[in-house]
Parts: sequence; structure tokens; C-alpha cells
Amino acid sequence: MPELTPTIGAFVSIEKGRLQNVMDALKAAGYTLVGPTLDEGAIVYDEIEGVADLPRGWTDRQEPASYRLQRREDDAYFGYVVGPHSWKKFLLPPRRTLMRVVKKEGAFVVVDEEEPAPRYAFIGVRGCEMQAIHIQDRVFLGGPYQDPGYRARRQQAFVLAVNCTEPGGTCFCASMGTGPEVGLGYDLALTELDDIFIVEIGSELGATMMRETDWRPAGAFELQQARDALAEARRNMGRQLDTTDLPNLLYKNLEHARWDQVADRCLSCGNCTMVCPTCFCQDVLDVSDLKGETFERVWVWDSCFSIDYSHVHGGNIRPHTRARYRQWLTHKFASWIDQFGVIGCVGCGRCITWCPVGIDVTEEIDAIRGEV
Amino acid sequence: MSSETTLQALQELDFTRDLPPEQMEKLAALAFEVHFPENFTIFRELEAGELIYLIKSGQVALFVRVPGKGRTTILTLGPGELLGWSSLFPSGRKTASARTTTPVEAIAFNAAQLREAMEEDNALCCSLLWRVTQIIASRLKATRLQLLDIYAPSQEH
Amino acid sequence: MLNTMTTPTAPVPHPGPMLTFPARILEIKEEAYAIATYQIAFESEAVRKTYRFRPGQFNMLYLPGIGEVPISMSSDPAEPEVIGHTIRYAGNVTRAISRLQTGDVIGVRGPYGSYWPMERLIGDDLCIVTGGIGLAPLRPVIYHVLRHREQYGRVYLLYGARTPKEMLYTDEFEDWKQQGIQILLTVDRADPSWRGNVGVVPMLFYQLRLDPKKTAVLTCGPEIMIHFVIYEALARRISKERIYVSMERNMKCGVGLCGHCQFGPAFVCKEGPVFAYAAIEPFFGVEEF
Repeated sequence: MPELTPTIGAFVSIEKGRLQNVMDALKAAGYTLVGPTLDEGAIVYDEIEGVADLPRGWTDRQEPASYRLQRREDDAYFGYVVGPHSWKKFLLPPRRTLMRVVKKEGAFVVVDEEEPAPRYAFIGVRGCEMQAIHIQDRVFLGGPYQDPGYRARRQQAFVLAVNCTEPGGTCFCASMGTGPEVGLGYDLALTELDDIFIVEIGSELGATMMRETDWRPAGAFELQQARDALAEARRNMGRQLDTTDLPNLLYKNLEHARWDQVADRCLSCGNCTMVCPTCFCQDVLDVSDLKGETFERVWVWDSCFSIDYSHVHGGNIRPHTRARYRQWLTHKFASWIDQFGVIGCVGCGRCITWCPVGIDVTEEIDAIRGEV
Repeated sequence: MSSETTLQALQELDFTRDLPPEQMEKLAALAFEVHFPENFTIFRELEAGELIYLIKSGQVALFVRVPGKGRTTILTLGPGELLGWSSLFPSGRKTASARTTTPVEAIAFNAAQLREAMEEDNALCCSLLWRVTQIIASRLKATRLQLLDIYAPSQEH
Repeated sequence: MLNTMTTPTAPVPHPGPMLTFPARILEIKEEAYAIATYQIAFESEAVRKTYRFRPGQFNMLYLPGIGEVPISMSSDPAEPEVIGHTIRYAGNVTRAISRLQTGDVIGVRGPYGSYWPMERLIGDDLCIVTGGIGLAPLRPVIYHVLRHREQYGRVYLLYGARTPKEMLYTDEFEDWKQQGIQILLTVDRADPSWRGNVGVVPMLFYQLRLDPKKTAVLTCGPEIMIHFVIYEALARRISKERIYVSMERNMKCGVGLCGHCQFGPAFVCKEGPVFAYAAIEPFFGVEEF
């Protein structure tokens, strides 16, 4: 048997059941595993204990405004794509304490509580999601003001990525340059074949977690199979988005007739912003105890579709759905580029699947381009 | 009235400053200086107007009479501003009353003479209408802004 | 591309950008109906001594259990140990502030945002055009000009309010005039005692003779008034690069992490609130943008 710890950059093969060993190693090292599991008719991300919690043998059928689970003919561990959750559920929790304040002698004291950041091991991060995490890194760690909570959670996160071999019904990662193969940033990356996982060692930490697992160097034939599967996935993408001339395409079309058309359909429900792995808008709530002595400031997720979002004294900047939809789309595909140096969309397709009326951003961009 | 001093005045006033010399001279020939004391009513609302003024110094208040409310000043005009533009149009009736709040010096034109000069000289006509339209546009925007009551305290959040 | 007039300066290094510092209210001065200026000083001497701001920047003011509100500084940047904020009582937080008294403590963090580019404007004539409470974020400009009067050419203040009683800082105007600021005032509605101009602020441009080659316009106020001011400035051939605008958008965090204040590619809390009109022109006139 070769050395216990594989080298960084190496491709190794493991019997699929051995994934449990990797997960056990992570738990022993103090990680909380979070990964895909079945709940309420969808594949969501939640705390898991081992491979038994994975939705083995399940897949998802996704279309605009539709998400259905379906049994597979095989027993694949990762034979599905992404559901309504994204890893921002853990890196940017929907509700988290920002600061505690206690009234004291006519003044107040900020209580700097040491809330230990959980150490998460993300099991099953897809290519689009890896990019989404990089994008939120830029938002929260890339500017003059940084979020210390995000930094702590992010620095401790272990990423076990999965290369997609079957695109989902609404996926378009290939045209966004984010998949199906996962880009840099993972500790381990799996490609699922019939009997084995090919594991690419992405970091020293990843290599360490492989020590207790029975692995061997991946064979040439296996690597070829993996490459072919990824190429096939790339070819089978159901949709694509033409990113030519973004951001200017949208900046120059702020009064395009399409905005009225989409406003007729959009319910302003904000689902898209909830499921989008890069949307980061948040609000700050102020809560107090009944005695009025201890106060908390709490970050909560917000959405640019909410009517209060653009309130200023004197009224509302964007009272109409048309303006709010335009804000979301132009932020995602245009202003984001000026703000963070990358496009805000990763091609995961969630907004298309979870929009109750099936608005498809690839179609909207095409329409503004004049190609619909 | 010395047409040299009026020429000088026209060369300094914003309204006429950039006119080509031949147009400036034509206007100077038609222009004459007027002086009004304080609290003098220059014209009244709905009067058929004959004169148009460019204010050189002092302040003129434009007001309307609202039955039950008395006089409401809607606009004041100061140095450099045009007073009485509605006279330029043949059937023009004054849209408000004008009363000086300080002693006022102005350059005045007889509307009929001005119209005649404009009909004979297309370039002059164009120059003047351009400037008058600009002013009317500004005043319209201003009126709308006043209507919108933009400083009013807002709704509760 | 957007302007580069941003230099965020934190008072002292602290663990997170949202942490707020206790500051005591030293003085409250009523300026007009529902508007007052609060002079505050940080409790911590270290913070008091290192805090600096530039004209146009804002602080986030915090009341425990109630919330935060962004308020521009309206005091002299050369005297940063006591900071003035002119506040209009309009929402939950500001109404709670209206119930405070001298000696009460609030939370303050800042300064945030971009600032009026006083260095770049040295040698220029300045036309400060504003209405109502818009004069508050511009008063630091006037104080700066008065301290460095020889650095600037002609300086005009064009200021208006709904009625004479709603004008701010009227007790300072005479002093400013003496020191070389030409002040033109106007009201939307006169009261019987008002002998001055009646009409909207942008109309005051008609009373000026401006040299477009060396005049800069600094404006702040209701957005619709700003539109009109820009119209009049451009009509007088003042260049877009010389027109500076202070924008207002909904702010929750003040540090670019919550997304609310976006105006196109700009975060008004980071790239603004002061913008050169040339930078925002493509987005400025767009309805509901």
C-alpha cells in the first residue's frame, strides 16, 4: 500500500463506500458535516452524519418553475445537481448576531462576545457553487470593510467538491465558465464513476483527511472515463447565456421594452434572491429584551424585491416591480462586474427553477440583446 | 436716450450678451431705458401688454390675486432677468401682475416694434425666440417644482 | 469610471466595521420645525483625538434597541473633537433622537463616504446650490472655504426653503457674507414679511454671471431639485466634471456589506454620497433606477 497521505494535485481512486472514512476523519477532526439530504420533497443542505444521509439513487428534474425528485436507475451518491439551498446558508447564515449592547450608567457598552464560529465541512460543493463562494469572498473580504464573522466561518470551512457529470435541467455553468468541472479552492474534489470515486487532492488539509481511507493512485483508464464524463456533461447543457458585452449591454438598455414585459410576469416574491448563491443583500434588525436593558443587532437576509428595500424619507425609489426586477438583473449581470471584477451569476439555474412563474434569466438577457 | 449706453447695457446683460453685433445694434436702436420707483405696479394680470423688459437692477415681484386669499407672490425677478415675455405674442395677455419691491432700472422694448424687426430679420427672430423659449422652459420647470412641494415633511416610515 | 474621492478613515482600529462608539450629546440647537443640530463628542479620549472627517461625509448614529441612521456632519471639519449633525425628525430612529437631551449617550461610527473635493477645487469659483436641509452637508464646505478663503475665487451660496421659517443657519449668514460668501436666498412661498426672492433655487442662477471655465457647482437636496440645478448649470456651459452632487439612498450598514444603497455600480456609502455628475450621468436621469 502506498504512503498514507496522497500528494497535493494527485488523483486517487477509492471505492465509493470509503467516502464514509473521509467523513469520519473530518468528524474526528472536529468538523460539522453539512451536505445534501432529502427533506420536504427536495434535496437540501443540512447537517449529515455520513453517506447514509446522502440522497443515494435520487435525482432532480428541474425546469422553469418546477422541481421534482425522481428515483434513478442506479445508486449514485451525487446523481443530482443543486437544490433550493446554497452554501451561503452556512457562510452567511440567514440570521446571525452582529453585536450585543448593554445599557450601563446612562451610556451603553458593546459586548464583544466570542461566539465560536462552527467548523463546517461542506460535502458536495459543485463548480457553480465554488465560484459563488469565491464571489462572496470578494464581497465580504475583498473591500475596505470586511465581515469578521464571514472570515472566521470561511477560513475554517473544508470543501469537498463534486464534479457534475450530468447537468441539471436549468444549469448553464459551462457558458458562465464555472463548471461542470470545479475550479480552484477545494480541499478534495470527487468525480463519481460507476464503482469508484476519483478524488483529486486539492490541499494539504484534504490530503490529511484521506489518511484513514483505503486509496490507490487513479488508473489512466479511470481518469479518461472521468474526463469523458465531464466533456459529455459540458456538451449536454440545456441552456447557455451569452455574456458578450456585459455590463454595457444592460447599462445601455435601462429603458428597454423587455423590462415592462418581465414586470407583467414577475410577482416580486424574491425567491430568486433567496436561492441565489451570490445574492448577499441583508438588513440589520434591532431587538431588545423586555426590560429594555440588553439589545441585539442582528443581520438578516433581505431582498431587493421587497418594497421597503429602497425606501428613503420622501418615498420609495423603486415603487414598481419593473424597477425592482431591473435592479436585480442589472446588478447580477452588469454592476456586479464593476463592483467586484466578476459577473455575479454562476449559472446554477436555481432562480429559473424556483421562480413561481419560470422567468429565465438566460432568456431575459437574450431578449434585451434582441435575439428573442 | 443714448443708444450707446443701451448698447453697453445689452452687451452686459446675459440675455443679449452673445448676440452677433448686427443683431445687438438692431435691438439697441429699439431699446430705451426705464426707471421705476419702489412699490410701483408695472402691469396687471390679464392686461394686454405692450412692453417687454430686461431688468438691470432691483427686484420685481410677480403675483396673482386669489379671491379670498389676496395677493400671492409666485416669483421674483432680479437683475438680468426678462419681464413680460407674454407681450411678444400678438394676443398676449399678462399672466400675472408685476410690482417693484425696490427701485428698478430696466431696458424696455415695444413689443410691436420688436415683432416687426423679427419678421424682417430671420436670424434675429431665431436668436430671440431661442432665448425666450429657454426662459419659459426654466419658469415652467420652476413652477412645477414649486407645485411639488419638495421640502414638505414626509410620510412616517 | 466612478470618482476617486474616497479615503475611509476609522477612528481607531476595531474588530468589525459595524462596532459603534459611545458619544455624548453636548448641545442641542433647534434650527427649524422638526430640525435640530446635535453637537456630540466621543466618550473615549483616544477616539476623540484621532477622529477626523471631511466635508460631505457621514456617521452612522445608533440608539440601542431602535436602530441606526446615516447623518452627514454639518460642523467644521477643522474642529473634529465636537461633531455636529443636523437632523430632521422623519423616521423611527430620528424621532427617537428627538426625545434625547444633552448628556444622553448615543452610538457613533464613521466617517464614511466620499467627500466634496475641496483640494481639487482650489482656484475655482464655487457655486453652492441647495435647499432645505440640503445645506447641512454643505455647511462644512462653507467653514472650510472661510478658513482658506484666499484659495478660492468667487463663492456663491444659492439657498432656498419652502418658507422663510424653514431656512437653516440664518443667524450665520451675515457672518458668512462679511467673509466673502455671496448669498442669494429664495423661498417657494413667502410670508408677508419676506422681502427677498420668491421662486425655486435653480432660478437664482439667472441672477449670476458665471465663468464656466472656472466655476464648480456643489449641490445637495431633493433629487428633483438636483435635476433642475444640473439643467441650469449645463445650460451655462459648466462642465459635467465640475458639477458635484450628494446623493441619498437607503442605508443600513454604511460600509458596503448590505447592498441597500446601490445606485448602479456605485455603493452610495462608499463611492458616494458625493459624486461628480460626469461619473453618474448615464444613470442619473433613469426613472426608478
